[in-house]
Amino acid sequence: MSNNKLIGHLDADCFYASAERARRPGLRAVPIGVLGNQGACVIAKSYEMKACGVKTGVPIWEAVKLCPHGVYVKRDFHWYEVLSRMMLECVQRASPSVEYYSIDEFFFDASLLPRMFGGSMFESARALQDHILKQTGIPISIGISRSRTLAKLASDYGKPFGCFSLLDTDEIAQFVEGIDIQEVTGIAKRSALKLAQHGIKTCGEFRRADRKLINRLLTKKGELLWWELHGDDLTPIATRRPMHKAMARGGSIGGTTKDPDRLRAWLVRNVERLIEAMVWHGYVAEKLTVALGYQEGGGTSQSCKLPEATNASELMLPLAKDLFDRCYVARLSLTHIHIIADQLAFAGDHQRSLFDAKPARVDALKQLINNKLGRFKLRSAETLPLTEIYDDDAHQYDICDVYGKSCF
Amino acid sequence: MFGLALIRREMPDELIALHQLRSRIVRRCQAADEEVYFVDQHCVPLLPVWVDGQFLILPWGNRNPNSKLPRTGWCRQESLEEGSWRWLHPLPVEIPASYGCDRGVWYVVNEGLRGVIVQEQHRRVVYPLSQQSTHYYEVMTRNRRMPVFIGETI
Repeated sequence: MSNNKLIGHLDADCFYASAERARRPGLRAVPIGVLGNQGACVIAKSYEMKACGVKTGVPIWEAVKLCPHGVYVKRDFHWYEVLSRMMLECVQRASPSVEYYSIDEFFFDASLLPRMFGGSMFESARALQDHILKQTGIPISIGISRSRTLAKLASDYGKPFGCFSLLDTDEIAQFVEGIDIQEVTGIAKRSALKLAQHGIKTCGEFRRADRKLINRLLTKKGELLWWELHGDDLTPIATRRPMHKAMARGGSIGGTTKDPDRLRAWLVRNVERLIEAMVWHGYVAEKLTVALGYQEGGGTSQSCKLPEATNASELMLPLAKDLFDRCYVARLSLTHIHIIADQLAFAGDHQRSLFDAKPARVDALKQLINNKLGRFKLRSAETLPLTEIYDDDAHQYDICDVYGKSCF
Repeated sequence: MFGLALIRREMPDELIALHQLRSRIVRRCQAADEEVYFVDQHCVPLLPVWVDGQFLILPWGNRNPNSKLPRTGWCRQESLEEGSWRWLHPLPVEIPASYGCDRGVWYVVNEGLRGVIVQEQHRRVVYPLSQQSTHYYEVMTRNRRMPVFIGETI
């Protein structure tokens, strides 16, 4: 099953913190913590802050105790996307086939890298690394091997600002031997527990295990990893994002509230964001779900089939409101609202309604004006109770608004 | 405690010497740039200020009970807008800063803070403006008041 293709994995080092340094050189060597849009949690940190014991997800008040001289900065996904696209462009110039895996990670066909840069594989990868640093100010690590999984392990090993290639079969076997199996993307705690029951705890043990046993324990996906750890790449580089199975917008509403106007405003905001994303991807949905989370714990949800496959506000918004009214337990305080569009199809490919379909005139007008004046400049008046959210740039743009990534 | 830090190289050497700021120069960590700290709890609280194109170091607020100037370190933007400071003829100024520190949390400042200077005889004093905190700032620092930043909302 082996082939001669070499896979590269490029991973930015502490991307959000490095992106802040790229525009503020004064932050060089300073421990940086990037905070989420509520200002409560550290969502990313520099190596210096990590060295102080600050982990991703810790509340700011704990991070300050661990790293009192650290500096905190508000996340800015708009800026991170600018740098991410610049990095993508650099890799696309160096490779014919690049997968935009996440905002700071790319897989690419590395086979032609030496021809492109005129040196050995290692020298060429170093040249790409230097080029990206020069162009964007972002330090990156590169791993090159015979499969995606191995390339990712190699880039992780090389961090920070590392360059590591694993090409030789013996070299691969030696490298993966002692690595904890949970280091492999796709093997989470539950899978690791299943494997541990069969004495498989390291990548070496995983490789030596019977392929059929792995398939039985972890299904086809696990078997795929087995092949990949042997250096057989079975997952093609996706140069275009595969179609979403479902699309969702929402999350925390920045605290708790029972205020019906604010709840309605959050609902409408999330529906507007969902429709915007669906229109961008060219999707229509047949099913809509509203899911709510409560301060007291637990959640409720309601789903319905849409009268026709659609991405139009005129149809989706009244139904979302109806679903919300049906599932909201009024005496409880809400903390989270999610809107999920399911059973997606590309607009044009879907089964059309026999009845008169209304054109999405409001959305077309909104898109026209917002494309000219800026996002959310024209929006539903029902979102007015959230003025402070719309006034704050940190809420304008989220990681899910960075389109085209094959992973979240 | 509230404080500001300005990257050392952004301050002229003459000002550092004139106002004896050397003791306020700190390096956050070994390889980082030097910074000059301006902290409200310092025995002589000072702030850097741009006034009419001039970079000055002025006293931060008023602690002198014999002075007629407001005995505070901050000017509430609301009271400034209501006209409560009009009798002092406040002059708007910019307070350059690289970082701010509120209740122990250091955060990045893009340009600086807005403030006013007022004069009593030959003594000029600077008061940074304060406003109600944004949700983000309040969660981050647990302070219900925040400075008025130049060209950004934190």
